[in-house]
Amino acid sequence: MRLSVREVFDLSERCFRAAGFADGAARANAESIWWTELTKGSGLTLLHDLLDELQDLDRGRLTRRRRGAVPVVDGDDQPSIVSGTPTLDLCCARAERRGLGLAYTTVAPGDDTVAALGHVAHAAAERGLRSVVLYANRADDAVTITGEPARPYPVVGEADLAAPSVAHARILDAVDDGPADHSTDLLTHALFDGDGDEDERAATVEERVLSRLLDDATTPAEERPDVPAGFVTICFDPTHPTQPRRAERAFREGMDASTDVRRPEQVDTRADRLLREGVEIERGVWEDVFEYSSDVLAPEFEGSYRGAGFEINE
Amino acid sequence: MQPERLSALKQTRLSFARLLMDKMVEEEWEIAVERSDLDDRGVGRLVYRIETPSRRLSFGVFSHDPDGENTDRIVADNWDMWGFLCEGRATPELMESQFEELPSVRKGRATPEILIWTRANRSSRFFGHVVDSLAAGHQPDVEFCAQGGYLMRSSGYYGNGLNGTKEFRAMDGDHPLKRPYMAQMLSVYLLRIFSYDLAEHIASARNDDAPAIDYEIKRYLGTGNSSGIGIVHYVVNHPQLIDAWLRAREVALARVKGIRPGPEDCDRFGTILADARRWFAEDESDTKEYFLSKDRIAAGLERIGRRVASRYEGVETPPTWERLCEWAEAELATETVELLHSLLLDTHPETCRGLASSLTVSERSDVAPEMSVATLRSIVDERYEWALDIDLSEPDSRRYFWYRSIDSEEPRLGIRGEHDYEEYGLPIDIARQVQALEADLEAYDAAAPVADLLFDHPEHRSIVERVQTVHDLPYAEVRTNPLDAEFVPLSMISCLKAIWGIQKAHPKSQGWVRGTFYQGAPLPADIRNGDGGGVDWLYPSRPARAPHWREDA
Repeated sequence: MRLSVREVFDLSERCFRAAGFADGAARANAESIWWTELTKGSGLTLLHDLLDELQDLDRGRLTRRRRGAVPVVDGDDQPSIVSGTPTLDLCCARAERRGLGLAYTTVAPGDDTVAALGHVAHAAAERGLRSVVLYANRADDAVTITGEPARPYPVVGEADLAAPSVAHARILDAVDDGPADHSTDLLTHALFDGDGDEDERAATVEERVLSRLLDDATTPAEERPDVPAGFVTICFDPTHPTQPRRAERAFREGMDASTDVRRPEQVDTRADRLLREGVEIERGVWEDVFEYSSDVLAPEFEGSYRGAGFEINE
Repeated sequence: MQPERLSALKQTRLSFARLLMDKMVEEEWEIAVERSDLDDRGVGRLVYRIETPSRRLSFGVFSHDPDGENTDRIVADNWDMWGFLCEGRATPELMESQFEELPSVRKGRATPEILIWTRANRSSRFFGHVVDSLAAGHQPDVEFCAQGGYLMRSSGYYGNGLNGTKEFRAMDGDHPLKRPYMAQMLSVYLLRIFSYDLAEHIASARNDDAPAIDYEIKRYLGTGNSSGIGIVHYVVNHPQLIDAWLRAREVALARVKGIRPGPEDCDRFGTILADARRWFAEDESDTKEYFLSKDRIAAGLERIGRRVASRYEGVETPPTWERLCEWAEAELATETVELLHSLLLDTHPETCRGLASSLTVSERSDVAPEMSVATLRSIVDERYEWALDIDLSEPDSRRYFWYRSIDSEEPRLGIRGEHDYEEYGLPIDIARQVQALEADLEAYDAAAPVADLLFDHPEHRSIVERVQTVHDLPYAEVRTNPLDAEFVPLSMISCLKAIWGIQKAHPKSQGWVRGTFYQGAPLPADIRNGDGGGVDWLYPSRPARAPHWREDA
């Protein structure tokens, strides 16, 4: 059977509301589900797989603190789908003010919602920002996501890695080392530690940092299986005066290292098809999701048949 | 955006029902029965074919035998008809599948080529009277039928992705219904035609010599409509759409007010005014205490006529229409003033030119997490002063809660503290949300980004996004508190119905309005010939009563 695009979004939102999420947070999570369906065809499956644990998801369990310039989000035992949007907001706010924003978030070990994490890069790009998201869970479960603004949809690349990326490990070390007053300082401290290939084309500090970040983001740090479950989000505002002019080329080259790239025309074609033909879903999956989503509705009761409410039909 | 003003709004040339009718007439759409399989009681299936310049559409109908008195409520499980509007042909296979699916309000599935699902009931008074009259060999009593103005009444049109229907966004650029509510309004119109065909079919089964309904009577009658408090949810939840629709009207109004009318303009205005005055004078429907009585509207229109005669007609340099509107604001009831606005737009149709294209807007939004707390506070203080001014400490200001029942998802009202299910309450209380946001903003440094607040208070994400998105849209927020004991849902229901293009509105209660669409509108034969668009059909005169209508009835 098929659902309309609107139904995918509405059902997802209702499920999160039924699980106790506030309206805005439920909508943000529904957007992640929809992005996963749109780009990977697995959003509804992800939602279905989450149903059993949805009641345990709690946006209120997230806390934040700062390590110098870096917001650190303690995700408690929550999966990345819960912490993705709030982390992105923190990151975007800093990027739009200072050109670059960086945040670190811990997630539940065994987080099985990482398929939706690309939505963070997508949403950053929709806000006009470039982004790199470095994710690791177990030693062999790591992914680097890169996002860039484009029309009609952002470009989002994902590189599956056999180990947490070098950039991820180094940035965590730098966060642990102590406060840095500026995210660029922290990245410089993290990424310019030891030998590395110098990019002669890169002239400014920001260009060198970006170039090194993109290189290290897709290089597995085989010797660092100890990276805790979590993700680093880095956003760049391309319109900010501090940001390098040649970043677009660097991002494109970084995207080449991705194992899976969603390009605007591909996403647009699929979005158009889903809009016209609907989204395929197994009836059993739909029935489970539908029943769960119905918990936002008041149960049937005797008064239902007397009128729509006090004095309304009288 | 005061609710009292919204309650008084009237249909205009930019209302969706009228935009559709103008398009149908201009493009000479062809509407005809493609196949019919109805028994003597009118039970069975029927398919209409709608040919437009760019594509063919179909309207499939399942007609049932009324079983007792049906209600118009969403929770009803029995309707006199179900129907669907679709692209292309309503094949027998599609009819069969939809026959199974349409009865299930929540779980039923349409297909992507289906644009609208609708359900309707025959009027218990008027439909039977028309059938009885025809079967008796004569025309129905038009004066009796005029009390309602319709033979069939729908309470809902489900489309734009609901139940798997085609989404509005998915319509091609040349799609004949690619404007807001065009698919719904075409369904409204087709119900009107179906009600005539059904009545004539049943009458013919009783009497081979039964006449068809007179052309004039068919023209005079329309489609009934019944709407309830679900519209309040819609108006609150779609601020960008409401803003776009009201903005277009305001722009047209500003254009027309600047016109200094010439003699021909005054003549045209006088003609339309006279039609409208007669229309309202003939309307005997009970408006209860919620709307201005129709005879008072007619009296107000008469005063407007006198004013125009004295200040505009034969005057070498008459004032602009704005002066007339200012006088009306000072002298007449708000409903009459809004009717004057509608009449002026019909007098100068050129003032609406181009604005139909502005009615389609995106509802996309996002938070701006980088905005400073100081900026957000400034926006709230400046643009939501009305919300901050509401005293929510008064118990009556929080009397109601709004929720949806699992029973067909019917929107419902409950009384806080007395009724169950408060935990299912829906967040349509913009004023309360704004006040809660304002209170929590005080704890933050002015320079802090909104992202910090959203992290600590995810419950504010929805209202922050709304405020950031619509604060500059002048017609987005209805300045009222739907939780208040004094809140009258009719204000928002009337507003949206005017935007749709309803002609008559009869309140059944403070949250339930019946009314009619398309009274006077061209019939399929007129449309095919390109006749009867514009304002010509809008205020039809009641046909003369046919001789011997009563004796055999």
